Amino acid sequence: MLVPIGMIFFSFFVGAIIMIVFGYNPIKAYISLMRGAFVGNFNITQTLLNSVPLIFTGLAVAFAFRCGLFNIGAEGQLYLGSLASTYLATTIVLPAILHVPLILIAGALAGGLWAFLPGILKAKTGSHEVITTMMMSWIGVFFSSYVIRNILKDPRTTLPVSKTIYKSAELIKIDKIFPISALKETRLHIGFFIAILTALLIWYILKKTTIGYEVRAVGFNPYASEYAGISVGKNTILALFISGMLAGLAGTVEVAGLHHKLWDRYSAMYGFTGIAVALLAKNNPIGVIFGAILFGAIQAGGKSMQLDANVPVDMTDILEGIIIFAVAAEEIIKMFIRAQEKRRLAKIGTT
Amino acid sequence: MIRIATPLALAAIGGTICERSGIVNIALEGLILIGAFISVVVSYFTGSAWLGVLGAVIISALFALLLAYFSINLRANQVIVGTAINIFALGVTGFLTDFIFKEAGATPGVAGLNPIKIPVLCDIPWIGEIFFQQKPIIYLTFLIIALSQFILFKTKIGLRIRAVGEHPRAADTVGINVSKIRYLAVIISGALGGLAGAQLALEEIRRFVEYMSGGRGFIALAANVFGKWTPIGSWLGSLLFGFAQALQLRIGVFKIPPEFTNMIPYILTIIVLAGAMGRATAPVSLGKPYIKD
Repeated sequence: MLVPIGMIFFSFFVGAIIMIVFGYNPIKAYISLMRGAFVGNFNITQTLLNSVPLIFTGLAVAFAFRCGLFNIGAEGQLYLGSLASTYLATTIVLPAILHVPLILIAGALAGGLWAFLPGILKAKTGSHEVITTMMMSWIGVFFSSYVIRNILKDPRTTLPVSKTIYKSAELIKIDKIFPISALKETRLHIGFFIAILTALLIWYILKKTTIGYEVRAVGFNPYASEYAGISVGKNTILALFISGMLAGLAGTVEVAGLHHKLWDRYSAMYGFTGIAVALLAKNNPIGVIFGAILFGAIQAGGKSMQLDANVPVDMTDILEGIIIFAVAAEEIIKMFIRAQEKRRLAKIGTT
Repeated sequence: MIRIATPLALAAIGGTICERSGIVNIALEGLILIGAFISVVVSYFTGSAWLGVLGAVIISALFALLLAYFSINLRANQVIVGTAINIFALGVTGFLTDFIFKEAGATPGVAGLNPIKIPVLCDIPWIGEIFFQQKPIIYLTFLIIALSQFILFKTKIGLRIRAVGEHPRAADTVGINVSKIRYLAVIISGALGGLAGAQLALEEIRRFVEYMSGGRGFIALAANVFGKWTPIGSWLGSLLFGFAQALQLRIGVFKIPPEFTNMIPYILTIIVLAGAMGRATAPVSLGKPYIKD
């Protein structure tokens, strides 16, 4: 727990040095970043809103990781999820009590399906999932583009956007459930709670169920698992399928909760930021929530950093990159600490 | 088609050399982007496109050093480091465009590289137009394809690169410095990624536009698999994508939605990987750090 926090501070420190080099005031920048992310109801809810798709994609990457699989195609799975749910949300008329669950399930299944094929290929032919999920991701992005522009397209505009979804398919706004004035005017929707519950569910599955145990066993040591009678192939397919479902939910919740229509290429690389979130959380589902909120905050604060401190908004990508570098190097730092410790103990021993 | 395939081919060959040595190079996308940006900045301030090319090659190679250091010395997960480089590149090029030119999104136009006609040969009908009236980096690419194929499969250094990617311990035992060879391969891939970016920026668009790499680094990886990790194969894979793109430009004739032609290289890569077109086997030790004991 301490190490990831240390890494975050270290990354912000490196970011500060970059800002100083280019003549910006990092203190001013970070203060406006923090203000833009956490001060005021609108900003806080914006941070939480940003974190919603990242919780789902972060969980997607983390779950696959637990099985030793690297799903870098969450972006495409997200689009497939958006696509399936938008389709059902714009064509079928149902009461909300049925409509919302229907599109959630459809979105999850579509995303799952998109990761299912790489899973099958990995299990049957050994094709590396890093390449297949990435290729499927691009295919998914192009496929979604086509469907949005040709099948789901809103005929009233020339913009590449789908028809607006039916009211019955929308996720309700939080201020409808908690009618307090602080939540008025904010766009936070129930998808945030669905995300939190999903994280808890994934945590439960990983920790307490047979499925979770087997998935983790395969991730830990596939050879030993096979020997112990746990099918590596079956768990590979299952883990990627569940991972894809989570990414599909990211897309569904974004459309049903926030945009209410499906824009072509609307995802701000949620699939890739999900990798960073999962890494930072050390693939712990609960950690994913906090990682996603951190990245959501950086994105929300980036805008006010640009307005107040004049630092280009791209600084947020730089920060994200540094955080991933720092997490990648974390093992080394731990090794270094252990070596120091050993040296210290040795010193004590000799005196 | 050759024009569209050139940056892909350069990046893909870089990827091939890198992956042959056992290091996954997801960072190609970022390396192309940085190369494109640096080439434009240098060309803008010096007025010399060739200095821009040189700058791109050097700076992208330096960025590749990050990948090398993290994956070889720190034994970090190579896919993660590659992802970090990609996100970082996106941020840093956008940030600097804003900082240097006070513009968000794109730089002003710069001096680019003009086509060179090779006398006599360029007058050959059809062939002359395709092969002998091209821009300089396109010529250079042909040279690089031939040279890298030769080096990788016919020379001692090529053998070493492949050995280090297949069986680093065996290579180590016979006295090959695994880290050194891997560093070399990663740096070459960075240089080629930078060159790909420079080609895109100085020969095609003549300015830098945010995220102008547009996924080419990932297609290069696809071309890599398609070409079964050989330079000539990667080039053919890149041509295939160039073909798909060229087809898209003549869309009125074929009536295929552009989204579907865009998918072609990715679908083919999956088919190749799945073994339907003959086995495509990655270098055995791809992605695994080597721990010397």
